[in-house]
Amino acid sequence: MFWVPAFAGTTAGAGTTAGAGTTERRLTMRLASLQSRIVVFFLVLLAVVQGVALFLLHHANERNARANIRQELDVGERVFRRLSEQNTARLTQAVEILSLDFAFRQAVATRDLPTIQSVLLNHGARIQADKMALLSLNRQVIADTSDPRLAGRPFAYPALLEAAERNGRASGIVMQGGRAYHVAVVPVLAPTPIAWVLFGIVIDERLARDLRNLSALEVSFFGRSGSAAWTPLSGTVSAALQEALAGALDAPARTMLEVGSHEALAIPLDTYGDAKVVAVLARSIDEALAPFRQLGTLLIVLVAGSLAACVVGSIFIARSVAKPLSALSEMTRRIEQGNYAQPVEVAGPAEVGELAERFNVMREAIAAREEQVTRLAYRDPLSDLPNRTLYNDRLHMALQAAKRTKSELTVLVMDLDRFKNINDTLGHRIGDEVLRQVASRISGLVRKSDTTARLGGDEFAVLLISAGVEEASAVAAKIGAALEMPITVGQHSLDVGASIGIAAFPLHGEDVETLMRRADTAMYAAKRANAGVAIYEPRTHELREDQLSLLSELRRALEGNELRLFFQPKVSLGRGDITGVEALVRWVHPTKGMIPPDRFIPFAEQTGFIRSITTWVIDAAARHAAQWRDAGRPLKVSLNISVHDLLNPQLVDLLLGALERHDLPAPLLCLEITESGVMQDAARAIDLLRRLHALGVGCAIDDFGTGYSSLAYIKQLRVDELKIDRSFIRNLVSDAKDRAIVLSTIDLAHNLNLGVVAEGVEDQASADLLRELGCDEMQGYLIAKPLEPAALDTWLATRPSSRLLSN
Amino acid sequence: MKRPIVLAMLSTLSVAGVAADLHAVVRSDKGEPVRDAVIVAVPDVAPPKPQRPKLEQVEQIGEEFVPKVKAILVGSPVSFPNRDSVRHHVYSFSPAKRFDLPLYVGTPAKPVVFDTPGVVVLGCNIHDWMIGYIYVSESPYYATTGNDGEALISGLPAGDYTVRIWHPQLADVVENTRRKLEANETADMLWRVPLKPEVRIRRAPTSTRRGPY
Repeated sequence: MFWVPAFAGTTAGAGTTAGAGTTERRLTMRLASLQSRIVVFFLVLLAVVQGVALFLLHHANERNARANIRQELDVGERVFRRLSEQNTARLTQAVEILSLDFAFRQAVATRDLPTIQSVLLNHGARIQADKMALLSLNRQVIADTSDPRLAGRPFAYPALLEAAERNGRASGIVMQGGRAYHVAVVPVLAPTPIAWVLFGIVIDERLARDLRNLSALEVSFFGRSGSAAWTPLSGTVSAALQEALAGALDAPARTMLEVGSHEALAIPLDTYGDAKVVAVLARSIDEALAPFRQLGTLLIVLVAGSLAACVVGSIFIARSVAKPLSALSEMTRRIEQGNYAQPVEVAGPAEVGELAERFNVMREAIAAREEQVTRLAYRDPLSDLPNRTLYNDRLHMALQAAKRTKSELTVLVMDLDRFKNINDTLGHRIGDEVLRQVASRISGLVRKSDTTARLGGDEFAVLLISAGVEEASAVAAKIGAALEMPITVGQHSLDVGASIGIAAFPLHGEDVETLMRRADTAMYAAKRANAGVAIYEPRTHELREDQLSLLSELRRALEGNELRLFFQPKVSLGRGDITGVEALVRWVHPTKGMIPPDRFIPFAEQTGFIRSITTWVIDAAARHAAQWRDAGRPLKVSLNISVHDLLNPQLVDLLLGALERHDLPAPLLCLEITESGVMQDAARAIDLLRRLHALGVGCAIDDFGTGYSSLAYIKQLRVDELKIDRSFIRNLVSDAKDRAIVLSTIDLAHNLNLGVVAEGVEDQASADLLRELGCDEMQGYLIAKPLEPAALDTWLATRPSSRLLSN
Repeated sequence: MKRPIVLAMLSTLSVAGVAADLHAVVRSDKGEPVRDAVIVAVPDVAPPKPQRPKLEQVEQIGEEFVPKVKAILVGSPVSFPNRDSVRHHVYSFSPAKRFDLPLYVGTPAKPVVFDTPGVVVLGCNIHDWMIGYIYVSESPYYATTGNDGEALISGLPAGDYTVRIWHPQLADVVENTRRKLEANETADMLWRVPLKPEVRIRRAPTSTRRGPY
């Protein structure tokens, strides 16, 4: 199982737990909207398509129905005409049969009226005729069964007989007594015509019913005399419709009428006499539409059904998509929370299944990458120890826990003393191996609950949970001891050593930064003091408040030319002439006035600002040296280099740059390195001095006698002179021991072929004594205090060169 | 009413005691020969020796009366021999002679005597289309035109005559023509008469449907 940072996990977990509810709701809403979109889309599509279909169908139906009605009316008209013909044929046949009846002919021939009447009735009854008449050839009524009074009167419809005379027979419609008759007339042949015989059938509901049975049409008949209004005669329709139809009728011509909800066709009938009769066939539009409307209703039911089916189906399909999607989103939520363990299992459409498969692959890939990323982010790949980030995280967590439980914890920060040397001389491969071994040694000395981390480079840190300063000191001592043991890499046996700084909670700080910074400070203090282990000491280590403001002022000073170089001349004790000047940096503060270097240089060293100052000093010194050289008075300018400068790999480049910039020969510059500075990193110092020597730049060991120099090292140092610390000079005259030290130092230097400079010479007696002891040069207030360049020039100009000589 | 065109084509002197002839030509108004037209010449003076009625006959052949128009002297008996294999029922409702001979085959036993001048229309009760005419003439001088539309009345005593024409389809009443016949004269007379279409039931015994005539 891969390690997951508790800090990150908890924070992310808290975030997602709070956000989980809203995420789910949002997802549900989104899915719901997907679902409703699918449903609405199909619903609207279906509704529109079916609505249009229904609309078109409705119109087509309406059109069809009307076309059907017209067609039905046309057919009805043909049927009606056929029926009329059949009636005519029936009537004609019956009347013909009668006309050929021998007895009838006999009766007619003999004008036997009673017999004629009875035969007419008899035959009429056979075909249910309503009117039987015998007419003379001269168009007089001989007998009429419908109205006996007509006998002897002229026949009312002579045109009918004219037609019969022309054609041998005739048929048609006549109106008599408010009723319309369908009549047929034939001659009575004996065997030549001797009379006309006529049969008639009342046009009444029977005909209408027959017609309706055949054609599903309503039939009614209307008659009128002359141009009077049409009056209904008979029909199958309601009185109201009949009246409406009568009102709509106009001339007796074949016309289409639309009356109310009926379409009607008026058919004029062949009428004899001045009366006119029309048959009106009517079809109810509603009835004609009924089957279409039924179809429409069925369709609407179908539409409703299909819409419902569409809704159900769409919801089902949408669910089948949404459900696995929701499973997938659940999975992404787990991944979001950093839980990669559980694969997603999705049942759904193939596409979604494939998506789920890809999700699983992605989940594994993310898990693998996150593992790698986490490792890179929180682990030092070289030592496999936690890195600074993780160390800080754990420290943060531990601090919170410690605050809760009111317990202590300590932070150890350590830096290998001689690692750079190893790395530079033996190469990175060896250096890396050294770091690995150091890591494993440290890890072996702490509890499992403690954290050992590599902060970077040769810097390590240990977090000791529930440990106070004493316990931490013990652990630090153990670690220090362990690292003092030589480390074997291949055939090399290497001494690394370490400086360890200790800072404790709550004693030295209550937050990660403070603790780490203070442990760091303590570590530097230990390194400076070569003490191995140092516990943070607030009074000595921590920058004071005013020092913090000092830093920003110092920056401003550098930019605002507040820093000045003062020069203190060095004089040859033998000849009394000026051998050179030592450049000393002063800060001319706009409000505080002159600030001596010991007030800000240590601070600059602590904060790293010393590099900027050194850069400025080298350039300024070179500039002044060049000016003096140009003025025809070349002076060797010495400048002080701090330990930090010693460690600066760019130092040589800085020097070279300054020499080039001012076109200054290297021997006109001299670097002074304190003895303690040399001893802090002797190897580096030896190396640097060798390179400076190669350039031709002069070098001096400053403050000699205070730094516990190993003579073995001094042997290796490529320097030109030793400067005896002022503490030995101050009481030189009165103190025999100091005198002895100075003398032996002078002897040592001369034996090593080095020059000797005495610092801080303040009185003539000391000067005389130094000359006696064989010291080469001196500097101090006796000669001159540090002077500004202009003052130095004056001093140089006014000083009698032989003053000291004469003494 | 149209006046019939009666033209005396030829006029010869009649010789007393010698009979005259009357040659009648009947044309339709379209100029076609008209057959079955009866031409009767009625003398103003009764003939000195009246002719005796003799037995006439109207046969039924092929379900038709043959001849279709038969002119007879009043008082003549007419027999109606049936030459067909089917029975006939000959009748007449004409005022000049009403009779009917119920169904018979062959020749009915008693001939029918036509003792009233006039036109007797013959029918057959079984075959409606059969129409025949017997013209009962009070004058012995009569003749019927043949297919050529001509008829010849011969042996007419000289004298004045009323000549009339009759045909079943005459459209109009044709006025009688006065004519003086000389002995030995052959008088030619021409009639142009408009004819009605023949009103007759179509001969289609097996057909139940009766179409136009």
